[in-house]
Amino acid sequence: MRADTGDLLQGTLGLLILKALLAGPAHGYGVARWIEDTTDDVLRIEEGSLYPALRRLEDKEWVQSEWGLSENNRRARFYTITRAGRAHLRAEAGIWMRYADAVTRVLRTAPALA
Amino acid sequence: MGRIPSWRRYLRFWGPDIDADIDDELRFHLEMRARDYEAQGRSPAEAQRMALARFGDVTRVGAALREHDRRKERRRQRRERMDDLLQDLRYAVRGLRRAPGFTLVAVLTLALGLGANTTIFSVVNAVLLRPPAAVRAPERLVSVYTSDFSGPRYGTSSYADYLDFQKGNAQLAGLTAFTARLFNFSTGGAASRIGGEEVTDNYFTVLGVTPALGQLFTPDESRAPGTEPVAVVSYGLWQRTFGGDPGVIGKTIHVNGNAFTVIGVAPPHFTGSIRGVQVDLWVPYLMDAVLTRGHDEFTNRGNRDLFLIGRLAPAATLASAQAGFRVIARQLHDAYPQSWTDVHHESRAISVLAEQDARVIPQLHGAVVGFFALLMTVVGIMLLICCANVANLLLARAAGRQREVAVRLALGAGRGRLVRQLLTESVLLAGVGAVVGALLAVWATRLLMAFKPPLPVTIALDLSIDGRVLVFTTLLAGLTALIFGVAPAFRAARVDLIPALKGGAAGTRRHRWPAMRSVLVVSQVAMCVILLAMAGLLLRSLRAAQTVDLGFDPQQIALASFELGNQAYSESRGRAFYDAIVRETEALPGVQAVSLAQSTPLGLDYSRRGVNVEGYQPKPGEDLEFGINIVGPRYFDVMRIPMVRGREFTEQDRAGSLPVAIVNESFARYFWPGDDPIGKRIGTGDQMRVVVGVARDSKTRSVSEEPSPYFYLPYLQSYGSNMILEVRTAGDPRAIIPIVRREAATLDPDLPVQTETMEDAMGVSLLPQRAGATLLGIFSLLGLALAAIGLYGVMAYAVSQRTRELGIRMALGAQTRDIYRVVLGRGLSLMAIGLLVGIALSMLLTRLVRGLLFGVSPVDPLTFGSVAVVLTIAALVASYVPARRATRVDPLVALREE
Repeated sequence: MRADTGDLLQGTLGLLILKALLAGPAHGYGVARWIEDTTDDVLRIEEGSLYPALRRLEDKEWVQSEWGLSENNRRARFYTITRAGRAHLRAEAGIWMRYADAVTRVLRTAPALA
Repeated sequence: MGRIPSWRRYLRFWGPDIDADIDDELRFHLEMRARDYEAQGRSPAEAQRMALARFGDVTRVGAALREHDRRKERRRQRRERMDDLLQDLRYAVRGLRRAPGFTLVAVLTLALGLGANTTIFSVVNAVLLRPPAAVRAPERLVSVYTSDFSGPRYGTSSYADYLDFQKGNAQLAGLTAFTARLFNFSTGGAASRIGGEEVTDNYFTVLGVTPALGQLFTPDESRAPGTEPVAVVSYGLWQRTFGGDPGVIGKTIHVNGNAFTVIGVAPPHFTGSIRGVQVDLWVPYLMDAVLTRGHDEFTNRGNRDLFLIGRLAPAATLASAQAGFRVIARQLHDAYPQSWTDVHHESRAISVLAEQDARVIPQLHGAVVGFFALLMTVVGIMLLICCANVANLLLARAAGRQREVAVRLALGAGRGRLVRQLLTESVLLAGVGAVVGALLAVWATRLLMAFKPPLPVTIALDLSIDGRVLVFTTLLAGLTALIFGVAPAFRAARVDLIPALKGGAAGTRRHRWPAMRSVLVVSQVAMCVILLAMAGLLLRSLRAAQTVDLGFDPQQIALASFELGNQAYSESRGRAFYDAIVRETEALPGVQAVSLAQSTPLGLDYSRRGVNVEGYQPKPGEDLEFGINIVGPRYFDVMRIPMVRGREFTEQDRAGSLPVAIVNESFARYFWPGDDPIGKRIGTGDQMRVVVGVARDSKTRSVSEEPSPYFYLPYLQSYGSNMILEVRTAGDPRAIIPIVRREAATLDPDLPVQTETMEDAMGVSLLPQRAGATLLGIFSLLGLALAAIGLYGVMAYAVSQRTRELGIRMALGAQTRDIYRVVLGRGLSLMAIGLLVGIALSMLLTRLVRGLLFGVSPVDPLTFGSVAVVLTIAALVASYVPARRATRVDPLVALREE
C-alpha cells in the first residue's frame, strides 16, 4: 500500500519533519529518508515541497538551520528542532493521534467493510 | 556534522550568499538520492535521472526558496539597521548630555545659521513659491500681457482689447481683467485710503473664489458703464471696519465719494491678484467711469491699464493658449494698425505666462530674483561660518575623546560604525538646531511682518512657516550636518591606538599646529570677509547716496497729498480748496514757505510728457518725452532749487495770462546750447508756452541718475486734481503734520490725507539698499563674531597642546615678548591667509550687489581696507587671551607634566 503523495497535507508534512528532527539535527535529504524508512516507503513525501516546508517551520521558529559537513564530508544545511518546535510537535501529535484514533474506531464499527 | 571551514565566515561579512546556498542545498539532496539509487545498482546516468524525477520541478522550488530567503534577508537587514540607528541615537543623546556646554554652543550656533536661512527662505516662499490663497486650481491660471509700444513684452492691456481677447480665444475657459487703485474709502465718517481693485464682473468666477459672506460679482453682458455701484470687501476690512457684523451686506459705503452697496465679503487670506499688495475692496471695472471720471477707457485701445488673468480650458495648455493669442494679435494688428503697431513698426505681441511665473510682475521679476539670490547667498555664507565653528568644536571634542574612541576600536567596533555614530551625533545637533532655528524664524518673520515700509499700500505677505519651508529647513539641516560633521567624524575615528591608549592626549602628534582646524578658521575668515565687504559696500553706497548733491534740500519739508479727483471735486472747487490750504498753512507759526506740486522728486510718482520746441526739428526716431512736474508758486523756494536764469512761477502766472514754463539746465543745453533760453517757446500738446526761467539740474527719479532734460508747468495754468502740499518748516517737519491734517479736516472732513516728511518719502528710492545694508550688516557682524570665536578656539587649543614646548622655551630663557610673538604671529597669519582668500572671492561675488551700489566701486579700496583692519583687530583680540595664558605657563609644571 502506498498513499498518494498529494494526500499528505501541508500541516502533516510539518509534523512529520518535526518528528524526524526529534532524533537529532539532520539535513533535508536525511529528513526525507527518515520518513521513507520509518514508514517503509508508505509515506513517500513530495521532495519538492520538503524545502519550502522547512522554511515555513524556520519562519515559525520551530526549527533552526546551520551549515555543516555531512557524513560524506560535503557542505550541507542541517536543521535542528527548537524548544518551541518540540512543544508544537507534542500538541499537534496529540491532536493527530486522537483524530486518527477516532477515525479508526469509526471504520472498525460494524458492519465491517467489505 | 563536521566543522565549518573558517574562511566561510569571512565571506558572510556582506551577508549570506543566498543563491549559492540554495544551489548547494538542492544539489546535495539530488546527489545523495542519486548515490542511493546507484547503491541499488542503477547506472550513474539513470540514478541522476531518477533522482531528478523524484524531486519534481527543481527550478520552481529553487525560485520559491530564493524569493523566501531574499525577503527574509531584507527584513533582517532592515531590523539591524533600525537597531543600529536607535543605538547610535541613544549613544549620541548620552554623549551630548555629558557635554552640556558644547551642546548648547553648537545648537545655538546652528540655530542662528539655520534660523537666518529659514527666515529668508520663508520670504522667498511667500513672494515666489507659494500658490495664491483661496483660489481654485491656481495651476490652471495664466497671466496675459500685451507688449508695450516701445517693445517690452509684458505690458498691460486695454479694455477694448480685453473684450476681443475674451471672445477670440477658445483655449481659455475664462479671461478676467483688473487694475489696481487706491480708493478713498469711508463708511460715513472720516475717509481713509485703501488698496483696491477694479475688476471685470467675471473676476471671482475665473479665479474660483467663493465668498465668506453674501455674494460676489456675477457677469452680465448688458450692463452699461457706471450702473453697478456694488462692492466686495476683504475679510480683513470686514473684521476691522465692520467688526465682522453679518449685517454688512446691503450697507452703503463711500468710495471716492460715491455711494456703493456692499454685496459680499471675500474669503480670508484672499488679498487680490498682485502678489504682496493688500487689496481691501473690489468694485466693478465699469464703475471706473464714476470713480476716476475717465471718458474713454472702455473704447480707447491706447488706454492700457488692465492686468489679465485667464483660466485654461480643460484640454488646453499654455502653448495652445499662446498659439490662440498669436492669431488674435495678427487679427488685431490688421484691424487696428495704429494702436497695434509698436515702435519697431511690428505688430504688438500677446504673451501668456503660467501663474507660477507671474507671481511678481514681470518687469520686477529679474530684480526681485536677484535681490533674493543675494540674500540667500548671504545667509548661506553665514551658515557656512556657523558650520566651520561647530566643526571646530567637534574637532576639539574629538581630541578630548581619543581615549574613548581608542577603547571602542580596541574592543572591536568598526571604524565605519564609529563614523556613523559620530555622524548621528552631528545630525542630532543639526536637528535640534533646526528646531530652535525654526522657532527663531517664527519670531523673525513676525518682526518682518510688523515692519511697515513707507509705501502707499499695505504689504500683504504671508511669511508663516509652511510645509515647503519646513522641508527646506530639514534638507538644509541634513546638508549642514554633513558639512560640519563628516570631516571631524573621520578624523575622530582615525586614532593611533597604542599611544592613545597609553597616554591620554599624547595620542596626537602634538608638535604641529592643528592643520584641519586652521583650514576651518581660514575659510571662516574668508567668508567673513565676503560678508563684511558686501555690507561695507552697501553702507558706503547709502552714505554716498545721502551725501550726494540732490540739487534740492529735502530736510525740514513736510508733505501732505490730496486726491480731490477721487473725491468728486470739480476744478473750481479744487482750486478753491488748494488756495485755502496753502493760505492757511502759510499762516501757521514755524512755516517758512508753502507750495504745491504734482509729484515729489525721488518719490514713487514720475511722469513724462511729450514736448515740441519751436524751431527744433526732431531727428527720426528721437524721443521728445521728458520728465515733468506741475508746481505752484514758490515751489523752487520751498525746494531750495536755485534759479540759474529768469524767475520762478508767481501768482500772476494764472489762467488767462501768458502761458509760461520753466526748464532745467539740461533741457536748455539740449535745445539751445550757447543761447539764452529765456523767451524761447515750447509746446506741450495744449498750447505754446514761453520759457521764463531756468532751474538748476536736480535729481528726479533716483540718486544715481545722470542729469536729464526736465521741465515745470505752473499749477495755476495747468490744474491737476491730485496735488501734494509741500511745507518748509523752521524746525522739525513732523511737528507741523498734525496741524496741517487738522486744517485739511476743517476744510473737508471726508477728505483722506496722506502725510509724511520729504525725507521719508525719498526713503522709498533707497529701500533696497537700506534693507540690503541692514541685513548684511547684521549677518556680517554675527559672522565676524563667530569667526573670532573660531580663531580664539583654535589658538586656545594650540596653546594648550603646546604647553610643554612653551615651557621649555621659557626655561631656556625665552621672554614673554617672544611667546606673544609666536602665538599672535600664528593667529595673525591665519587671519592674513583668510583675508587674502576672502578678498579674492569677494571680487567675484560683489557683482551680486553691483546693481545696488552707488558712487562706490565694487573693489572699493577703502571698504576692503576697513575690512582688513576690523579683521586684524578681531584676530589680535582672539589670539591675545590664549597668548597671555601661554606666558603664564610655569616651566616647572609644564616640564613635569608627563
